[in-house]
Amino acid sequence: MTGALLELDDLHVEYPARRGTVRAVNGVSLRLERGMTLGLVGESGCGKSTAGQAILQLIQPPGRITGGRIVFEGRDMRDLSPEALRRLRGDRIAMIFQDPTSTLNPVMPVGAQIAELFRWHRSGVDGAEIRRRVVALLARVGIDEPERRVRSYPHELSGGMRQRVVIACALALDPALVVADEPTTALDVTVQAQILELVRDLQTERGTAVLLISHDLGVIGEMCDRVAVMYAGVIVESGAVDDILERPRHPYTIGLVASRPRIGQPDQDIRPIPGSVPDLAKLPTGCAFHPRCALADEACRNVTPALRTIGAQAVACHKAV
Amino acid sequence: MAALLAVADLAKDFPLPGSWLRPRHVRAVDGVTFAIARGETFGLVGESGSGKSTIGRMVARLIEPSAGTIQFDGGDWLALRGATLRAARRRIQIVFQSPYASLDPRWRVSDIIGEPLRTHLDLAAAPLHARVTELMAAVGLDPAMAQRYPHQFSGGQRQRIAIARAIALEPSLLIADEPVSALDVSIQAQILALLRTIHARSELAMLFISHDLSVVSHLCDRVGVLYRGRLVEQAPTRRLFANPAHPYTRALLAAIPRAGRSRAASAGGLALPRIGESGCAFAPRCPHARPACAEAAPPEMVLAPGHRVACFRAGEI
Repeated sequence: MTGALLELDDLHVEYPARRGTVRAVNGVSLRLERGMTLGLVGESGCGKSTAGQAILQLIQPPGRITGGRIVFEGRDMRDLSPEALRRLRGDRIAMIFQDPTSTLNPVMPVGAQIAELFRWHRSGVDGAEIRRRVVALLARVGIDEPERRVRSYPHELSGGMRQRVVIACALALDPALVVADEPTTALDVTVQAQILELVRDLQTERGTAVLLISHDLGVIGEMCDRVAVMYAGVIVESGAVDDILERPRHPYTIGLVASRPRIGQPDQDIRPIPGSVPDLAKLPTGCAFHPRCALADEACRNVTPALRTIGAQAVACHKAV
Repeated sequence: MAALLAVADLAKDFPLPGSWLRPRHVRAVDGVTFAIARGETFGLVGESGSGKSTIGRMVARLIEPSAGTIQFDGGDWLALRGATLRAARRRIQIVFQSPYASLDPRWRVSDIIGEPLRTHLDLAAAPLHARVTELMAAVGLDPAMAQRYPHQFSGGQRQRIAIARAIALEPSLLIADEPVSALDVSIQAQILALLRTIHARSELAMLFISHDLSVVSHLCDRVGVLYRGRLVEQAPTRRLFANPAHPYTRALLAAIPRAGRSRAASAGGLALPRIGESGCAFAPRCPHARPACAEAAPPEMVLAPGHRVACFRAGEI
């Protein structure tokens, strides 16, 4: 197969609301190659989670995908039948959510939840073999005494252990793509470090591509090859992770990087971005960032900037150099 | 100079659920000692369950300690009761993590910010209005919005309201318990800048509680690191981050995600809480642990002026 593993082309997702149409994703295009990690970074309400859910066709009505293409392994996800989607999800594409507690079934032992995936998607595999694979998976994600832990219920495990079980579920059938939406945000920093390391190891081992959705530039910097920065439903900047973090060009990315306090530098002058994110139902005209931008002028207020190549990255800004 | 706040051997036991017939307790805070000078910003950093919020709540007298002493401005802070305590509360104010839960949704902003002024100072309408206007401007809110309700404000603006209420009585100590953890990074930076400005303008001392080392390092003069209820290390900020001495502090620093971070930085497995054990709480996860570490709690030792660490092996590792 040629081409990218996943390609989003001008994706639009809208939610009707009393205050108007919420344009959560407003023309997003991105590419993810096999085995690579792409970060999707942005603040609350920028549309990053909606974009992730749209890939797996998980947008809940009344929200809907109103335009664009989602091409995964050469097929447009929007053309697939519900049955074909069911076969794909959990098998070729898996998703990891922020909160492992609400992802796992509280009344089912964790081993049975992983085994269910094999029963659904690999009907040829017999019970003994499934059991062997489940134990091996739990061992691989770092769960001690996996033979005993298969019978544990989620509430008997710590938050970090639950997220390991969720990762075991996601990787059970060796998917080509994992969409991970804030997978470590609910965890303590030392546990987060262990989980990130586990994800990286598994990815190297199996060649899985990861779309990592996060608000945390540190996590993105550590995990990703490439990164796309979202603001108010659009991608404002994308490129190799080092370029974006070290030489951001979009005023929003520059502000985001400058907003982060750096460790052990108490005299550092952090420069906050003034104002707050716009209501996605009442987007400003022109560039959605212009009300918060020091560089904004007439063109920014009227004309929506398209992504253009500057240096090594793509930037949607009239003023960026 | 005498400390504004001096906490010594502070401890808090909580009853375990379902143990009312034969009460069993978990020690959430254990032998914590630290001091804050007038105008100083002291950070308490730790992961969930480390006891950091419990310490803040004890200092604010929202819950009572099981053991230990708290001296505030030279007096016995824990001896205050009833009307004396109520009057003294204006000296120590607290800002909480959730600006959604900490503001009464049925109150107008002017009432929320004005309440401590009415309660403690009994201000008349005109001076009260003037002071509320002044406070709103000081925290970067448009005083024209004084008649609105909390739901009409964003998370960052609500945290500004909570801060305005907390500084209304010009307290000597502000306890900030994860004040920016619920906020997006660009808004978080605005609130951090605001706290810095307020701190620079007044003689306000701050007890800043957070799980986020970068936020703590940005705002604080000194930092204390908590692990399972014990203060394992405290030092001036720059020194702590340049020369962390406790293995847990090192693990915490190594765990901060960043581009190009070295691999395998995370310390040990995930030991479950071991309640009532006598040794060092970190020993089960510690790469440097020796048998002695599991037998007795390590005493605090002084590595440098103001740099204290509770680890048997701090000098040698």
